[in-house]
Amino acid sequence: MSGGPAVRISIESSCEKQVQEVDFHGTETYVPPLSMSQNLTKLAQRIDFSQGSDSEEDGADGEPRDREWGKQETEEEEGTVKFQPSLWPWDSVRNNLRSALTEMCVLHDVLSVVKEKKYMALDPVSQDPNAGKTPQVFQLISKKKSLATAAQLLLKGAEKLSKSVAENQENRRQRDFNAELLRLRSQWKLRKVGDKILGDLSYRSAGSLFPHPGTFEVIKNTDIDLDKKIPEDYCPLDVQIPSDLEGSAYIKVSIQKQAPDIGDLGTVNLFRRPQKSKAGTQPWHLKLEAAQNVLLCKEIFAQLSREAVQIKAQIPHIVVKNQIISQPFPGLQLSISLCHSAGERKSSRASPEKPKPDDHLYVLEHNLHQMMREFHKQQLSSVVMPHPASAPFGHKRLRLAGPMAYDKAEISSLQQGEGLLEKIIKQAKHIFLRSRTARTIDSLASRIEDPQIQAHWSNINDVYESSVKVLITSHGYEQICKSIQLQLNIGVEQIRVVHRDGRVVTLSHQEQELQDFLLSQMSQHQVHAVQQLAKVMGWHVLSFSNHVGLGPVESIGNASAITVASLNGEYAISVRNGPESGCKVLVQFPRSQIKELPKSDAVQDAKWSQLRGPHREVNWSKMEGRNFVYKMELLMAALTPCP
Amino acid sequence: MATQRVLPQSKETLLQNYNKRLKDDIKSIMDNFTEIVKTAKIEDETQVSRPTQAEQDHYEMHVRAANIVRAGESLMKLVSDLKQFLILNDFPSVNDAISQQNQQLRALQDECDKKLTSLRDEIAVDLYELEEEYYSSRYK
Repeated sequence: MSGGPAVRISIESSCEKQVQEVDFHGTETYVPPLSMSQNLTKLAQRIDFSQGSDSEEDGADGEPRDREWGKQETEEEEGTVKFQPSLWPWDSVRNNLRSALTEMCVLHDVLSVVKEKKYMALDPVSQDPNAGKTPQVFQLISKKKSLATAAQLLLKGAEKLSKSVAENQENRRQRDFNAELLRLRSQWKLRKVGDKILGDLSYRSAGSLFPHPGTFEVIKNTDIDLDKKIPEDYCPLDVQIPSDLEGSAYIKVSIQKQAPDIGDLGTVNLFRRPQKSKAGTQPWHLKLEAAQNVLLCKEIFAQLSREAVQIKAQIPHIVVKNQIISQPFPGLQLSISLCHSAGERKSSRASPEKPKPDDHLYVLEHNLHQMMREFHKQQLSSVVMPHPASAPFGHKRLRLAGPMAYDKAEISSLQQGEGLLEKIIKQAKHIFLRSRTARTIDSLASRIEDPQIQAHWSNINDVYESSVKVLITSHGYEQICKSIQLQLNIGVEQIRVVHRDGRVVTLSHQEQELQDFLLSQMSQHQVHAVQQLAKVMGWHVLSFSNHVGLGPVESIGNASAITVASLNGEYAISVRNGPESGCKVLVQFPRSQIKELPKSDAVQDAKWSQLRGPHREVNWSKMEGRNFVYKMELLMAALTPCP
Repeated sequence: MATQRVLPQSKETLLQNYNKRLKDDIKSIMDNFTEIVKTAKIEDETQVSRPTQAEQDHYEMHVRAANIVRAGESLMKLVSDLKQFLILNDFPSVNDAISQQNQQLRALQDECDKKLTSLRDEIAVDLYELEEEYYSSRYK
């Protein structure tokens, strides 16, 4: 285009005037343009007065207008197009005109009605100033009053709110419910059910299988007047525990026997002392702990009674109400009872029933608790294998039976685990046997002063085994008379005695057996002591026997005997000591010292007089000396010739 | 909390419910206040008689003011509910508390064990001497 020749285009404005007609000879006749007034008229003609601007006006003054302007409307209807009122250029003019018309019509009507005087008469208006204003003032006053009450209500509400907010921010943070709740939450399991906050105090998460729900409810303590001074021990949070867990409970284990021989097993009352609350411990915490303790005691007791019923013992265990009675040894009764005092102070078990203050076996009670916890822990295996959440998976340890290729014996040993009751009975037996052993030893020690018995209890014990070392010595000669050292291993059913030289004797639980054994050992000790003494004194041991086959038969053990001779062989001392018959000491003199020695025909030579003659018994009880060995030492000293 | 934990359905609805309560309460306060202000306007034309109208307005304002107060209280309740929700569902802090307590108790246990062991040893020594003395004395 740029390269092309410039083309001239002349632009002429189109004909502004409308062509009216074209003659045959081509002359166009134009319509002359409208003048200003003509244009106005044209525009005015297009106004649609019939179309109401307001709908309410239509109804009100529709009729008079119809009557008055009926003719005009008919004329206009043909020419005018329906315009949208908003597009109409002179809308406001038209509206004002219309309203003016309406007013005029109304005025006209009123005037015509008034003129008739048939329907309406004009009266002067009474000039009462209050008449118009009264309703307004009344309204004003009433509104003001209403607003005032509303405002008052709002203020009251606001005050209440700000008070509660201020209370939260006060320095009594520890009194705040939410703070308490947070503290509670950090120590106990809580969950929200509906409007309530429920907690769980059972040991289920620790592995317990006890079906008690153990739920408690957390409630807000609101029955206190906030305006008054708040008491020191006030706590905004309170807990409600199930009624069957209220109060305090403990498991009582005791061994009863007709003869009060084990009365000293447990002397102090530990449980029923009112618990002193530590500083900083919340009351709810104490309450929950007490309830948890009750729950645990109940669980223990339920487990024990279940086992008591299931286990087939030789003497069946008796379960009566809250007591389990078992007989570990003949004539001995182990009773385990659940004591639950629901009230604050009152014990549910009447105290006149038991005149003796306390026969608790606290160790066993503690062990029961401990075993229950172990049982719980066993349930929570540390190795959790993938398992279906919907179905039980059997015994956890049994699961390992496959991978570990257990044989039948191992599996059966897994299945018949020892129950709580069996364990506790075994422990009770052990405790009983131990205390009986101690009593036997002590009574022997106090009854028999010579020789002395010393018992040293080992400080390392097991629940089923403890040991005591028994030394039999003579007072003042501990260093030389160390022959008898016994180690008594007290088990559940029997006592194993280990001698110093390694001999092992097994005694049953019967008291008499141990006593007899110790008595025989003591009698042997005396003879051993003489032997030791002879060595120290330089005497010769001629013969020694622990078990003499001659002489009167002892009912307990055997008598032992020793014969020692003095250094130069002139004198000899024979000792025979039996556990029952006691000791008998004989001294053999040289023949030369005996006056009324029967003359023998066969032995004439003087040298035979150097031989020892007949024995004479020493009146042992008349001998001076504190104890047997001392007496013996004196005797030996007396028989030893002075150098 | 940058990490968005996946909440179970019920928790989700609960939280939404809290949100809804908050909006409802605030809307209620707003609406009631607007209505009170509207009612305070003096109107000329009423169909009912003026004392009746006054009584009605009075009552309406009363109720609306009470509604505002109620909504405020409800907001306070919402705050406390939210606190409770946080306290009860804040498992990380609970776990912290548990582990801390666990640590404390273990320390206590160790301490007790140590004390008991030393006590046992001391008593064992004393007991040995006492036993020796007792069994060799006259007063048994």
